[in-house]
Amino acid sequence: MKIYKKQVFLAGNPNSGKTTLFNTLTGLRQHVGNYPGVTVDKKSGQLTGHGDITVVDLPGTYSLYPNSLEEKIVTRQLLDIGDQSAVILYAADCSRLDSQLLLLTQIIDLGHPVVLALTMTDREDKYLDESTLSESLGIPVFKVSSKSGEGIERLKSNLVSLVNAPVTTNNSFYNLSDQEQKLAAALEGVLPEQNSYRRLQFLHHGENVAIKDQIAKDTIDRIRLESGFNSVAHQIEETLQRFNKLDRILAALQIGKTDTVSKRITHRMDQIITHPVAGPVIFALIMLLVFQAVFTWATVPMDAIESIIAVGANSIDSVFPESWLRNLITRGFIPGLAGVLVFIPQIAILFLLIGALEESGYMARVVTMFDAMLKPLGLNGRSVVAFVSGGACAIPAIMSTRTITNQRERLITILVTPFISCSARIPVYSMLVAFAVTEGKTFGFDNRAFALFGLYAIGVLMALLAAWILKAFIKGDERSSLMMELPVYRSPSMKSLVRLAYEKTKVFILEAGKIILIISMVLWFLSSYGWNREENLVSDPPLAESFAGNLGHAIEPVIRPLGFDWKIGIAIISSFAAREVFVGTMATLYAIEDEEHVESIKERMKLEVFPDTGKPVYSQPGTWSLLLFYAFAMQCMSTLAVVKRETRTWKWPLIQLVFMTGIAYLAAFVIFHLLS
Amino acid sequence: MATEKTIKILRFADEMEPAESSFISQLEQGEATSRLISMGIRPQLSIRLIKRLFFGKTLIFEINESFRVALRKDEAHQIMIKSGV
Repeated sequence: MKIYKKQVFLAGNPNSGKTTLFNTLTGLRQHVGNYPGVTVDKKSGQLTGHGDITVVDLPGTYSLYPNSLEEKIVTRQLLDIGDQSAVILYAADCSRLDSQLLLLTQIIDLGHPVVLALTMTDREDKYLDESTLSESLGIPVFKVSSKSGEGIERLKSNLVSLVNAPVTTNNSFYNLSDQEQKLAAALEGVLPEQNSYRRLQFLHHGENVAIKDQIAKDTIDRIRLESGFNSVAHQIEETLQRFNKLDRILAALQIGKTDTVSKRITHRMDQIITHPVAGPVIFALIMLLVFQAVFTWATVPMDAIESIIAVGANSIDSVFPESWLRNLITRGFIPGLAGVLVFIPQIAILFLLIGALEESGYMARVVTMFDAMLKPLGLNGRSVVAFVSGGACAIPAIMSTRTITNQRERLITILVTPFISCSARIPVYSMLVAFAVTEGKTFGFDNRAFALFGLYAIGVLMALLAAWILKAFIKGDERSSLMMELPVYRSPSMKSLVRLAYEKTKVFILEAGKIILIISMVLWFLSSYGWNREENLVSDPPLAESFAGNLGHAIEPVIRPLGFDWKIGIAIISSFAAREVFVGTMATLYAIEDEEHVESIKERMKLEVFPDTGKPVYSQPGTWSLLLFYAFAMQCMSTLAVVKRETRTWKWPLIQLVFMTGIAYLAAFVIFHLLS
Repeated sequence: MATEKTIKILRFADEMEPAESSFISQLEQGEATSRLISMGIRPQLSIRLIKRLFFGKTLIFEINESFRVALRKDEAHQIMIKSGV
């Protein structure tokens, strides 16, 4: 990522309207690191109209004293900024000022230039005097509404002038105790450029903040040890003092209690949504609706993309003379590209709907409802967030586990999340479900949608079972926590949802697309050429005698007990790069075997039989066996790479690869023999 | 005799009845305390038990008539409340 000199760091509590404000300030010009994730990654964007200023969206946190990995990043970042061209923009929900300003006062005491933005002003009906608040806090205060755009321009011009000429307030909120002052003074020699409160922070965080100077590090450790510094006691003392001061400031504003309409609606809705019986039923229904939508809404755009690609391939075939290059393009590259592009509608819709569930505040209720149920399995209520995101892609899901404070619960969540059917399995499922289930409707729902829901359900059940088993092997004694705020429901902004879905789909297509395209072309080569005809490489041998055929035949004895033939063998091998490669592989394999590839792949697959027995390959037992294999097997290199990064060892991704694929083999074997 | 009247029974937030309101008197020092206070759950504020989920293993509270939080039973057990006596 490009490093800009002028930076605005956006900080605030969870549910402070921070992310919406970020979207309003940066528009479409955002960078989300390498992988998608709501506020997990260091998300940054350019301030609209001011390309030289970068806005960085910090994860939401309550104070400088972190509980989770994500919050640690914020503390570290806030202590690291020494450059005075950085300004902190603090977002707070204006109806929640009684509890959302704690971190603001800490940031002021760190000595940063700060601007306060009061969000969700459209929800607050009481009069709130920003100038009085600004005076008592000693910093600029702006009421903004991301919905109507009110106050945004004023905020922006203030940010621009502050970035160019930083001003800090002389106000300080926390008076260090005598003991704390003595300790801070003792650090003056090694941390000369820091103020007393910053020095105190270094005592609190010790090894958690990056200190380059070894002498400073040793001095801090020694002072911590010698003074018997009780961090938690000092934290509590400090926090209470800050709140007392804030209470006095807010009392002068005479804001009074807020009892808005949206709050009353929220409380009424929560009676049903968090009901012990109705709650989980509603959750299951919402999930079913999501998948129904994925299936039905995506049909029209998918058909359109499919026919456009078919027309393109046919016209290339008719215009250009037969050559290896034409074959590479129309039988390797284009089928591979089609395998990626066709699924954009489904993936985008899934990302959109999951984003809506998170932004509306519903996910906080889901976490609350399932926490007590998941705790005995070695998981946490927050694991649900990973599981639901895992329905789109395991990569952002695994990264979302950074909010789980207990390391053991976090590790187990990471290990079992890939059992949740991700969108990369949709192409495989939707192709195969057509062979396993007849068309029609049950209770008004599409049969195939039901089968798809079943596959998702079995993925969830396997994730829970695996968690329960892993719990016995993974030790850890850290305390775990729930402590979940239940925000007021709000209708997510369509604009920001579309942006989120667009970003995530783009990254997904680029990440998966690269692998799929390369593999498609490698496969085309492997299936077009064989070593029998070294002298005449241009003419293709029959598929069975090609390199790919040899590979598939080699593993056939291992997979024949599952009902798979050698062609499926090729698909499984190539799927270890990424699951969705399956469809591209099938397209490539059959396009190559057939002289005319006008016939759709599905029709072609239906006719496929085992040469020795004459039985169809895609029979019900064979198809269900393949479906279960794809449901459980670890077939995603990108996920393994992320697990390695998050656990900082190859041990866990390897264990994950072995146990998931083992379970997949076993399940496929059992179902094939049960149904045959 | 006078002492008997002034003795107040220690009560914790996890022992509240649904819809019961009280005030937070103190927070026990523990792992969760710093986080609870940071979230704005602190002495002198009103606390009301909204709902018990899962046989009381998960509790939903309203703090300061302002916002709602879900806490586990052991987390709520760190919050001391003023008893109604």
